[in-house]
Order: sequence, then structure tokens, then C-alpha cells
Amino acid sequence: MSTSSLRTLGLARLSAGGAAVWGAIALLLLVAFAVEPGLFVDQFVGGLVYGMTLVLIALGLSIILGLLGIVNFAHGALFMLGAYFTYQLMALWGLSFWIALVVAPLLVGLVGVAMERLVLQWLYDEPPLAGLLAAFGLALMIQEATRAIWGDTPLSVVTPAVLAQSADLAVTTVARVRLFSVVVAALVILAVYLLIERTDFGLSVRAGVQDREMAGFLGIDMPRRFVLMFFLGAVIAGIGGVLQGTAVGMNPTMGQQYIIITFVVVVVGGIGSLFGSVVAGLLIGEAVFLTPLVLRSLADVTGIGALAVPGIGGLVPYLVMILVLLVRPRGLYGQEGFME
Amino acid sequence: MSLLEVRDLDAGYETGQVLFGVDLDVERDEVVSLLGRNGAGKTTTMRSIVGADEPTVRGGSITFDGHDLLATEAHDIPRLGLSLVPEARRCFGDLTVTENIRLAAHHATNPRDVAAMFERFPELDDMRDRPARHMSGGEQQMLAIARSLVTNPQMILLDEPCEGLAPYIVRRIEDIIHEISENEGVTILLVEQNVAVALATADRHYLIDEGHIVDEVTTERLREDETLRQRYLGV
Repeated sequence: MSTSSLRTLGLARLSAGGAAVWGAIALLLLVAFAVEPGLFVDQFVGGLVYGMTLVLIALGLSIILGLLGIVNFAHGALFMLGAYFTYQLMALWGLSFWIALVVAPLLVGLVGVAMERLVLQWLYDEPPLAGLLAAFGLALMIQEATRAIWGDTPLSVVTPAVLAQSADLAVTTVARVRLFSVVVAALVILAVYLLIERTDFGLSVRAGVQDREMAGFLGIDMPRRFVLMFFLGAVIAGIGGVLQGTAVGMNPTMGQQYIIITFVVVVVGGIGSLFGSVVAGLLIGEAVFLTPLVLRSLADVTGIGALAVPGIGGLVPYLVMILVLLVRPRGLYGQEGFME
Repeated sequence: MSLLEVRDLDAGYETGQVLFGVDLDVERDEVVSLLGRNGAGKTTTMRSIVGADEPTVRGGSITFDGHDLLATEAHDIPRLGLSLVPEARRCFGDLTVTENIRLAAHHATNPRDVAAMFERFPELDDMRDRPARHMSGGEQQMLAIARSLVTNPQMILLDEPCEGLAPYIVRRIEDIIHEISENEGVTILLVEQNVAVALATADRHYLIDEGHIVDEVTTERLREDETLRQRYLGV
């Protein structure tokens, strides 16, 4: 029997069991909600904010990986710069949050372009490891520069008054700034979707992701698009940084922390699939926040205390990745045949 | 002056030189074939002409319509009116038929009407919104030709258009080659391993063997000279 028919069989069996799995997950979430509705909504919003932040970083990482074959480990550093530029603009120069929300991502975009023009563009035709190492080096340089300029201690900015209040969600209240983050992230994702799927520019980028050389044979100047996409990816990560810096704060290792999980998001979503990155980012964001709660509720309901594994949240992204890759090596929405 | 002139072309890869002093001329409105065995240097010649990163051209010159192609960026070459339909078709599998054609039209200086391509290739009309990856090899080949034709080229480089296709589709591709050459005034350089296709479509043939152009023959001579075919093409 060929491997493909074996795989088809495996998937068929899985989708038969799929309904049961989803049913069980829904039931667990319902139990958790019933036990502690306020906390559940809190954690759900937390997962949404976290997931959206992951998505904002993952979009750029995924585009650059698909287009150039480079795992841009410095992408997390760009996210971090978004936060620190916000601090610089707001706390040190006294500008308003709204100005920072626009200016900081653009500045991050320029850093991204400098990164591409000065370093990474020379490595496109080298083995992938060269680009990876160079990007890793860039990440460390930016991180240490950040430490040198803004110091080692965590920083935060004063949330603008209009976002500082809480929104009443019946069972709990949620800081408006977190809801604002979710809305801005959702708008950015929508804008990226429209750009990639509905414009001629997006069409040429999608073609370039699939076959860069052939796109060139059709007269498309791919290097110019690489710069533009790098700029765009950096701007989006920068927006994520502004939102994170405003809602939570910042420290010089936040880029490193996020880039690892973001890479997990891209792999789970399927390399080259932006839609996959969005789904995987939200999935992992929610899983990180809801899993501990679900397990604790389960421990409460059943009386089996061992179910509430301490610190499980940090492990969840990797557990999700292992599970998804075992069943589908190309990721949720990866290109057919990739890694299979 | 010929539309396409290749002079004394040396080209190769890191692993070694492949082309040795290749000379080749294609006149306006001609259909010329480049015939040779696997690995003889046919695709390397095509890739050198369109300015691909690989192979590296080490010597000689390539001129198209008076332009020095070796001094032209690869992505500017299509706008001179020289279009490649590559080996293995290379349609963008995730893009729909319409998107594949629209993409090419969008980056051409003076494109043809995208809608007119569907009249030109009725086979594609029923599958406008189908991703190219879900098409048969013959359909993909037609899409690849449509994608090239929509840019309104003076000349098309066709690299093994009939490879792996069923005989009745090969006939259809041969007809298309005739039509775009005779009715639409497009010059064609055709790379083939299939001598029958070259005989049916081309006016003149270059035989390439181990990176050297070993002969230039008329269709008549190629049809009659079995020893020639045997020696250089193994048929």
C-alpha cells in the first residue's frame, strides 16, 4: 500500500474521532466556565490578547520565511523595539499614545529595512543556516543595544486615560486597553488579508512565495518586493510591540521570549500560510491561558488534585506543536507535500 | 540582424561548464527548434537567454531585438518582448487560472486582454477559478502558454512543452504553436526531445550535443537523415 493511501486512512480514522475530540474540548471549557465564569472570561480575553500578539509577530515571520526561506530570528527584536520606541516617544519625549501608535511601527519598519538591505539580502542564496545565524546575531545585537540604551529593568508607559478604564463584561471587568489591542490586531490582520488576497501587489507576493524564479521570469522585480514585505512585516511586529508595551510593559528579553513561541505558531499553522498563522496564533494563545484553568476546574470537580499540573501553561505551545505535527507534518494549513 | 542572436556562449554551473561556444540565430517570425538529448545543454541555453541566476554565463553575447541581454536584469527581459514558457510549465499552483494570467498581464508593458485569452484557449474558460495545481498537465501547459502570450511577446521560448503529455494533447499544443506563429506573428524558439513535435512545427533546427551546436538543418533534412537523428538524438 502506498504511503499516501495509508495517510488517507489515518486521516479518515482521525476525522471519525475528530468530532469526539472537539466535543470533549467543548465540554471541558463548559465545565471551566461553570466553575468560575469570571475567571474564565478573564483568561479568555488574556488568551485573545496573547494570541493576537503572537499573530502580529507571526505574520511577518511567516511572510519572510515563505518568500525568502529565512527564519528571521530578529523578528522578535523588532517586536521589542516597537515597545521601546513607544517608551521613548511617550515617556521620554512626552508625545501622545496615538502618535506613538503610528510613529513607532514606522520606525521599526525602517529598522527592518536596514536589517534586510545591510545584512540579510546577501544571504538569500546561501544555505538557510547562514540566514538563520545572521538573524540570530542581529537579534542579540538589538537586544544588547536596547539594554544599553534603556536599561535592564522592566519599563512601562502610562496608559492613555480613555483606555485606562475597565469595560464591564457582566461576569468580570476587563481593562479597555486589552480590548483595544484585540481590535487593533484584528484590523491589522484584516488589512494584511486584503493586501495579500485582493491586490495586484499581493498577487505578485503570493506568486513569489510559490516560485520566486518564475515570478522573476514574468518580469516581477522580486527584490523590491522583498524590501517592501520586510518593511511591512517589521511594521506589523512594531504594532504588536506598541500594544504589548502599552498594555503590559517591556523588558529587553521580551523579543527572545516571543520569537520562540511565534516560531511554534508558524510551524503549527503551516509554513507559508498566513491564514494558518492566524488560526495557530489564536489557538495557542487561548490554549496557554485556558489549559491551566480547565485543569484546575477539573481537579475541583473530580476531587483529583493531581490534575491541576502547576506551570502547565508554559508547556502548552510545545504540546500543541507536537500533537499537530504528529498528525499533520505540514502544519494545519501548510502547503501540500511540505515536510511529508 | 536576427531577432535573437546567441554568439560564442560559454555557460555552466558550479559543477562545471555546460555550454561551449554556442551560436544560434532566430529570425523574426521563424519557428526554430533546439534539439538534443537529455543533458545536452538545451535548458541551460534557455536559462542563459532569460538571465536566470544559474547558470553563470562566462563568455559570449546574447542579443535580443538589439538589446544586450547579458547587461539586462532578468526581470526587465520580459518587457523587451521575450517570454519564457519554462520546462515543467511552472504555473503558480495556489493561484487560480485567472490569477496566473492576470499576474503576467499586470507586469507587461503592453499586455493583451486577459478575457481574450479565454477565447483563445477555450479549455481554460471553464476552469477560470480553479487553482492551477488541480489541472492536468496538458491544461497547465496551455495555461503556461496563455500566461506568456498575454504579455504580448515578440518571441516565446518554449522549453519542452509536450513533455509527459498524451498524444492528442501534443497535437493540440502543435496546433497552438502553428497558430501563434502564423496568425499572431510570434517568433518561437522551441526546445524539444520529441523530434516529431519539432518536425511538425519548426522551420529550422539546431542540434546540440554535449554543449556544442553540432549541426543546423532544415526540417526536410532532419526528416530524411536517419543517421543524423540516430547520432545526436538517439531516435
